[in-house]
Amino acid sequence: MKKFITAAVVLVLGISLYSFAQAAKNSEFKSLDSRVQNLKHEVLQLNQELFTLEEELLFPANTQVAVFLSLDVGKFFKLDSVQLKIDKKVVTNYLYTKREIESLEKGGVQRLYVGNFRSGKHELVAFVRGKGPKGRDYRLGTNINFTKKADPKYIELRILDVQGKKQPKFDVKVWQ
Amino acid sequence: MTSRLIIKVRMPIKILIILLTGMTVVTGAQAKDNDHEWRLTKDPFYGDALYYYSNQQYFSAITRLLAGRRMGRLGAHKEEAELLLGGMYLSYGMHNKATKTFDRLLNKETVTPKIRDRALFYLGKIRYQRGYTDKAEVSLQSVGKALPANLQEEHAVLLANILMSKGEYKKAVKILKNIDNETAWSIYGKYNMGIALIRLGQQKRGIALLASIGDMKAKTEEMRSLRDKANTALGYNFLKENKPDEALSFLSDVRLDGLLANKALLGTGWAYSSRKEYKKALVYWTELQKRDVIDSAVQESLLAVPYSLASLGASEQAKKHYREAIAIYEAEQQRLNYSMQAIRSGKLIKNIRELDASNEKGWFYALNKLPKSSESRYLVNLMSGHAFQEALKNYRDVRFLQQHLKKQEKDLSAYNWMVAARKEGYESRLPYLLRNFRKLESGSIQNRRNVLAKEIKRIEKTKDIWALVNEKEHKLIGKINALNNKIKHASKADNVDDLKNKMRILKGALAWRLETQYVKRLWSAKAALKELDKVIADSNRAKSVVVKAKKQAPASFDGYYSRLRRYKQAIGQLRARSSTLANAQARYIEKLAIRGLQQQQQRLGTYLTQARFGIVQILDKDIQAK
Repeated sequence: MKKFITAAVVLVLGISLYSFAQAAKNSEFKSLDSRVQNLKHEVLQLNQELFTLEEELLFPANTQVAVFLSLDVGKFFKLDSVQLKIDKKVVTNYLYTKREIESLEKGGVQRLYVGNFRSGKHELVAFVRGKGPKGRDYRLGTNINFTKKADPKYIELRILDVQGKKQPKFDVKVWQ
Repeated sequence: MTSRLIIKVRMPIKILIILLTGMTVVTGAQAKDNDHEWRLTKDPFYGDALYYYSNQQYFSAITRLLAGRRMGRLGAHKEEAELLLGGMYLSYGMHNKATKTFDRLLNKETVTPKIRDRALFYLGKIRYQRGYTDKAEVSLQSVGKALPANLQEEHAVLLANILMSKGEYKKAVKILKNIDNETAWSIYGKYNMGIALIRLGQQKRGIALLASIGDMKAKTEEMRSLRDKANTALGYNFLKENKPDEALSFLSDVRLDGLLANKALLGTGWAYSSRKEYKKALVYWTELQKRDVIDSAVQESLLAVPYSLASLGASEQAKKHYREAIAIYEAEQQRLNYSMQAIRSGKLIKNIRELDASNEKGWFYALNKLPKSSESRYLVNLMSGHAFQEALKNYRDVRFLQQHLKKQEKDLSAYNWMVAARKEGYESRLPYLLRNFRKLESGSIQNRRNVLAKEIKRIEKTKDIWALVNEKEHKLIGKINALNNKIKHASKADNVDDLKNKMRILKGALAWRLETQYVKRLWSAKAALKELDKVIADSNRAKSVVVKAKKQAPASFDGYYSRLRRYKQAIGQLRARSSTLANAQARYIEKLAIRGLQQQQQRLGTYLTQARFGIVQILDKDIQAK
């Protein structure tokens, strides 16, 4: 009986803090792991080049308009969905998952929309839906007129908590 | 044991692995990777990468950060972006790149203490995970006071683990003492400290710590599992000390539906057995026998039951149970043989390959979806080995890269099409644009503009109000002049004095209007001239763009085509490499799996010997009794 118990004690108490390290020291593991890391590195290098190429081809700088969305809220607004219109045309509708909202709450910024627009004046209208103070359905809207020039245009929509009014608000920042 | 209902729970695989391997600290640390101070995002492209990182889409996150850096879009976040990149490499299993990134960051003279401490922390963490404990300790000991609060506890736990691995328990205990009592890290820390103290011989303090975990109110499954682990550990510790009463008090708190339930049931039986209460022991072991025989505790219970029966003097029943145990062990050995054959024939890998590899988010979740075949039956048990986990993770990552490269190859033809369409559009529009620019070049517009400017100057100089009339006024003047002409040639009999007077008044009124509006009209004329200048300037600019494009476009299109050819070649090579690597990784997984199953077979072999020996012992006793 004692033998059984001793084995079980080792099993239960023996926290293998170094089992990963042991695995890492295994030469076959190490060699394969190193090859996997190199492959990842090279695919990532290629991928970033293709990412740039795709942007150059699909959204050239002289027509590119990108709209970002960020959150600095928590108390007064829980985001549910967003609708974006440019020049009175709906360009995107987006429904958020819990995980995506967590990403936004941690400071992530979502590239909500990228499109092509001619140089000149345009109007952007955005609506967000979600739960406002006391869990009530809440809808926020904002609009901005912007002029598209030869450089790409980056617009960030920020949803902020306004402590004084205890309400959320929309803020728009045009990066360039 | 508490009388909670026995229910079969599909426990999240991550927790299951944590429990099986005791890698609570390391895995918990990984979960905390994302807790950077992110709320101060100053640039949308940095935030964009952060968004994907937080969403555990590491491949996309790294791509975006690298592309952002390449395009000079990270602005205010350059150093933070480097730190983030290192963290991303770490999360994506690229330890070598992560180490280089943190090293590079630490070698910068401009690095702030906050960034420096975080880089040192992550560097220490990587070194710890890779088994370089001395270097890890140096990095972690070098961390200053600027480490964010959310990483301080993980830092302390990592450092304590290193010290414990070196046998420096006292120092570890001292470090862990400083951890806050409320957080998950403090509980992990306490657990490790409890174990450390017990190993150090300070049983009383160690037991008190583990008991506080065993008694805690746990809100999450992870914490409930850790509570079970503490109680099981304490129970077995007391069993080892031959203190069954104390052992029972802890083992009874382990949940019946948790992962450690089988071990707790087994231990409870041993506790009663050591109190010579064999009947009670049998209650627990009989319950355990009903469970899946794949579990080592269940396998052991097959020996424990006849052992208990024999102790109660029920020799015949004991023999029967030993024989049943032998049959079960043999059947299980047979199943293991089948599983090994299936693994050797590639069935395990085939099942794993059928899981969706196009999703870059994690891979633990997908293992729940594996078909319940003989080769995947033991997968969860095999997952308790870190090497197997890491091998499987690498295999999944390579599979994702394979899928991604395949997609990229398809995308290349679309890019080729886009470049061709752009070239065609350019070539079809160029002649039209050039024709229009030639008109501009002829100088007619510029000449007409110059004439206009000269006329405006003349009007201003001579104050020629009549030159500023509009179309309507121009027509009116024409009518007045025509009438005046008629009046001039009229005879006296026509009596035109009254009409003549009216024309004079009308002309005078018009002159008055022109006089009073002169300044405004002159300003409008000048403004129209400026507008014309702007249009001409825009046209000239457009012309220069077109002329430049005409010169550069062929090279630009050629550049695109050359890039696309290069990418195609690179993708082809990478696809071939990834395929070779996936195969090598698959063979390695099979090797580890077979090794794991062979160990299980050895264990069953030992149990078989013990069962046979048990029968012999009983028979021997029977003979002696006769």
